[in-house]
Amino acid sequence: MSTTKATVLIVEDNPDHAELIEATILDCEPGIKILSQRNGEDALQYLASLKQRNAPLPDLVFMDIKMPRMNGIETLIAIKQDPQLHYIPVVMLSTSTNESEMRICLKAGAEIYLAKPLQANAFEELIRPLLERWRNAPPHKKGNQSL
Amino acid sequence: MPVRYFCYIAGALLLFVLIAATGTTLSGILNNLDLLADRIDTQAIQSIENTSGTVSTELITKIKSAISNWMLFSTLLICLLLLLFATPFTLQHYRTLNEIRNTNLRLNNQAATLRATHRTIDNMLEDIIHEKKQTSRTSEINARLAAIINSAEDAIFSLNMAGYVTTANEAALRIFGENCEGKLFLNLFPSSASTKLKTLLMTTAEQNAGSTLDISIEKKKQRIDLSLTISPIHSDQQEIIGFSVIAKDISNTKLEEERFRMAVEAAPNAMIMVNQMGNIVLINSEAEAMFGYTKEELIGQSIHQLVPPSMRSIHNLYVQNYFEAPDRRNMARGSSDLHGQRKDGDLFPIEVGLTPITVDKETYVISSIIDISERLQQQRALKNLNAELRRKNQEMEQFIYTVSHDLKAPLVTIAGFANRLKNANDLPLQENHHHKLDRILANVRSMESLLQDLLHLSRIIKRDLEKALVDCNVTLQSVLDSLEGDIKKMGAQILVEGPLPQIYAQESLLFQCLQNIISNALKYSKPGVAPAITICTAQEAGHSGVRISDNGIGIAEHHQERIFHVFERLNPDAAEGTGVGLSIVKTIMEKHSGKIVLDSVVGQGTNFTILFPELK
Repeated sequence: MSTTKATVLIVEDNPDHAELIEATILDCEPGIKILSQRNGEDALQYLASLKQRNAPLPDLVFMDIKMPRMNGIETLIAIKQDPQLHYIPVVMLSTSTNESEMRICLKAGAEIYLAKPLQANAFEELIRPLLERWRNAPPHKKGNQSL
Repeated sequence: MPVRYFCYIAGALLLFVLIAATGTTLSGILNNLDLLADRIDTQAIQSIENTSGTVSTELITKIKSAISNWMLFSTLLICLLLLLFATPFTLQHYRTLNEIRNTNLRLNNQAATLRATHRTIDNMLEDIIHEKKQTSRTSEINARLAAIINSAEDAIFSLNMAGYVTTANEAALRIFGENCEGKLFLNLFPSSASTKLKTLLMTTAEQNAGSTLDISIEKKKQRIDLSLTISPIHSDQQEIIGFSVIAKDISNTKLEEERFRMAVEAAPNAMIMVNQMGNIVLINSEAEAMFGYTKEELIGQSIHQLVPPSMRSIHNLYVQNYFEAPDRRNMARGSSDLHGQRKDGDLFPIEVGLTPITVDKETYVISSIIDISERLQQQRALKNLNAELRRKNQEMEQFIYTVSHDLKAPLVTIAGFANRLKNANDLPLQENHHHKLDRILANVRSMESLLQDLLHLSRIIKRDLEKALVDCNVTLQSVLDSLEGDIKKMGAQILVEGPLPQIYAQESLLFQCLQNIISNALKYSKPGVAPAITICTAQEAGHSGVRISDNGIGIAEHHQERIFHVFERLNPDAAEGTGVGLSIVKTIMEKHSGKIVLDSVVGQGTNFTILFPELK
């Protein structure tokens, strides 16, 4: 697998949940680089600072929905409207899934909407293909082509 | 005279002679004629030819001369007689004529005198007759006036200047007693009124004009209300020689007025009666209390005193307008900012009902006024309470959502870590550790489904319905498809007695209802008996829907109400579930303004009927 150098960003306010997500990801993909932010605002600031420093951006974002200061959906929209960030795949993780929330997330540009906790099989079936796709053909290297 | 007599005698004699002579002559003629006749007879026998001519001529000559002699003589005689008689008669005639003329003249004079006298007498007579007529007319009028006065309903007195009753009519005698004539007028009334009456008499005399006063007297312990009109009586020289008093019994009018006043007074609303000029003529205590004025302050005043100054000119127009076409209605037709003004200047919101009434051809309007400050306050309070409730409701929904989410977050953590522990390869877990972890995970699942149902219920309550015409046959088929696994597992018999009706509902919620009820029917079947479920059409006035009957364990009557409560489970051991299913069904039916009817016998089965209102 050529995902050893992949970087994922977890945006999650609940440290337990963050730990569980991290553990599951590492179970499935040992050696993957994991970044963490506690809410949407912090995440956007962090991404902005990466852009400024011209540092490599994460290959995938795991985003909790209910967070203080700036929730997951608002953050998702901000990412998907940013021309430099919009290509990054976003996986929304919801504590209490429901249809309307799912529809909103997908409409706003989320790639995947999942119920917590993140299960290993979901990672294998849904997330790994996404990671591989972007690693093999990173859209930011072919110009900012839209999703 | 002697001459006349002599003439008469001579005339008579001459007449005698004349008659005698005439007689003689006539007899001579007759004799000759006889002779002639004889001769004619004899000669006619002998010969007629020769002799007859001679004899006839001779005889005729003789007759002729006899007749001419007679005629001459009689002519002479007549002339003489005429002369003799005519002269004295003519003389006498002239004398008489003269006398007659004189007498006539005298008589004419006398007649003229008489005519003049007659005329005088005629005039006198006419005067006398006229006077007579006048007198009888006056007495007739007097009699009639007396009759009128006597038969008048009103008591009528005449008083002398000293104030004593000189005459009284029958009504006066009836009201004031038989012996009132000759009494002092003031003594006919209670002493309390005497000052007033004295003043009134004095004013009448001083101002030389009539005046009126309403007064009441007691007669046989009964109150009589009188309206007195006192007028001066004048002599021919225009001096006041006394007074006339007309006392009208207005007890009945007063009684009617009193009744009307009492009715107005007793009304629970403030009532104000206004005349066409916009002046207040009647007001009850409620109105006094409402506006802070006394009756005395308001009677006769303009209604505008009770209207806020800014509204007075337009109100004036409204009043005029109203009297042009008075009808029974509410003032300002639905406007909510009608205000009254209290004596202290305070404005307060009112509602006014107007009713026109006509008394003696004059139109009045009765306004019934309600102070609606309290009502408006209540309305505001109610509105606030409603808003509060709505906010609370929203808060509650938010609370349910938040709680569900926040309760779920730790569950995720518990389940996550338990799973990690269970699947950890590097830990030496014993069998009973696995069991304990399984129990933790099972409880997490149970808790999760409870929270899921709770969330689901809160979403149904929160969301607006999206109703459409739904074919129950189609929806039922989807429900049966979704439950296919359970149906097969239970070996259940499903009988659809179609076709089912079309109803007006939100399809997803109808699906939910049918699914919950049928899944209950599958769950709560009698042990060892394959479930038999019948689904058919249900109809009720204005409603149509579906009935689901099963042959399950049934629900005891005293539990039938409880099973619709959230988290209520009668047989937790009989089947898995959260106890929210029927709550959801009930909530869905309430949301549709429909109903759910439960009909069940323990040990025999249960019928659920869901009815949706038909589209009108």
